[in-house]
Amino acid sequence: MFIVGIETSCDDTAASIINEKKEVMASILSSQTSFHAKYGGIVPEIASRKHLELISHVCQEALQTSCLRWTDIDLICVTKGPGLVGSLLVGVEYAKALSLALNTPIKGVHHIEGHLLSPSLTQTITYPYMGLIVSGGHTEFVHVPKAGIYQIVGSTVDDACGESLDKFGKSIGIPYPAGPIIEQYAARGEDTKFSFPLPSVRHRPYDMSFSGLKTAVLHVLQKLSPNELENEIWSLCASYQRALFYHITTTAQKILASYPSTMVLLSGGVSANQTLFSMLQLSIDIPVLKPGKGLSTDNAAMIAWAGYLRYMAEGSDSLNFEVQSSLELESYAVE
Amino acid sequence: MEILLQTVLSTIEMAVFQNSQLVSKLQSPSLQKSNNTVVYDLQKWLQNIGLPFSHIHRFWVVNGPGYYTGIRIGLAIAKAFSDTTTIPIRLVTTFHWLRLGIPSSMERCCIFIPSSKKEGYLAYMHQFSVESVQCIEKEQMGTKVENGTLQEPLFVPCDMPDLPLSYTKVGDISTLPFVYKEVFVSNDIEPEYIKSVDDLFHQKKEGH
Repeated sequence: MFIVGIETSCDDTAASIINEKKEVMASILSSQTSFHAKYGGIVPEIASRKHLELISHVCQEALQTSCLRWTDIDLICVTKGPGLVGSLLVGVEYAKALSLALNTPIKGVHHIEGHLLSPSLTQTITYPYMGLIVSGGHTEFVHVPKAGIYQIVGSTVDDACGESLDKFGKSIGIPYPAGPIIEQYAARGEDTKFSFPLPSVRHRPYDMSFSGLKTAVLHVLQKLSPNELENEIWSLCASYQRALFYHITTTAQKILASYPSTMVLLSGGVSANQTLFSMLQLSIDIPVLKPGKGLSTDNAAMIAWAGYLRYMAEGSDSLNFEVQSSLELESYAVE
Repeated sequence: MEILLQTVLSTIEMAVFQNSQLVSKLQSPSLQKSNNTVVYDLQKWLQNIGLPFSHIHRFWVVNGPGYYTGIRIGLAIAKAFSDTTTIPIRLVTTFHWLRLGIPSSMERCCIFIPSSKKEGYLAYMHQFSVESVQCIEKEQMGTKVENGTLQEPLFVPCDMPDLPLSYTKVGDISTLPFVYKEVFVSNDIEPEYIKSVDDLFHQKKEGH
């Protein structure tokens, strides 16, 4: 069975072809980062326009890479939300039209479900597990007691972790996307040189807040001259990164104490950060798995895989399913 | 059989033609409510009129200007059809699509097409040639008419909310356009946004 996945929820246009044995035959991604960098962040209208421009290219390239034709495809999976509505619509309408023209079943996929399941594409997982999605748009803990059961137990109440890194980067002159550069700079600095308060959300111990750290950074920056900032930029990055990740790891400890799990599946774009992975491994006593190469950031292989599993459980969707900017992650199995 | 799809105005239209004669037509009332279901509506409508998808030998799509989201919906569908079938795609601009509904005896006219809540595009046309296009706020259109700066009769899409100026509504077109661009590969299916991203971004920055 050949499954095509299409992902256009944010600023990357991606298409992938996998089979039911979890073999990724093609995973093509066209990043729009350079277009958005000019504007200092993601501009939804640019994202939508680029998706329309690129959607055919990436899908055709995925087919060529996997040596298949459209008529060989057995299932079309596409991200239906959450995300930027204009971006989602391009992928979904393209996928629906494929489904109509080819008379092939279609399945709408929740973006977070794709991330949650991405580590399982390359590794064996055991239940119950704790999914931790850390990206530019999401920071969530999802408890998965068995396949198809999802319980969101904690999340950010304001900025996502990746978003916080981008905002911090902007405040010290690091271009978008700032996360990978901050990681490089942090490796050269002292992570205890600057002290940032550990945020907390009152009466919600499993939720996180990252927006307060921005104010703390502003206070530090006000006290630094341009020369001092230049000299301290490594340690500033290291300290900020540590504060963010410490907030996540301490929340993980609290959640795991209440939700026994066999492993943590770390995913999302920030899961590629080695410091986060190491801090998480050191702070908890169960294995931490992260996605294979190319599967951490937004990609279409995870959409194809999540869509295939849901299709096997529920069957295909009608062509009238909707795209939604915010979408609840629904379970498909009965606990 | 030829299918025409118009998704760039408030009302979505799809029509099927045989030997250039209109066979059937469907209008969805609101783009905002039905933009998720264009392909579904197309599928159901084809089923209702008993037309198998394989019997379509040409696909027409209006490629803008108009509502940005609508432009992308129509063209994403056209691209998928182009990628998976050998059906040639014919692109028609919204100006040429609406000009079909204006008597050909009227040599010169203006057509205003909304692109967002506040603004749209005003084209000066001589027969089927677009002589100029300008982006203009809806409120400014009234001033233009009052000042007499708009020298030609004005036409607007028939589904457009009322404007405080004199115009004629045009729409409900039942013939196939004769000004179009035929494409055979999806890469050539390009939108007519008129306004570039830089224009949009600078406008936002300047606080308009």
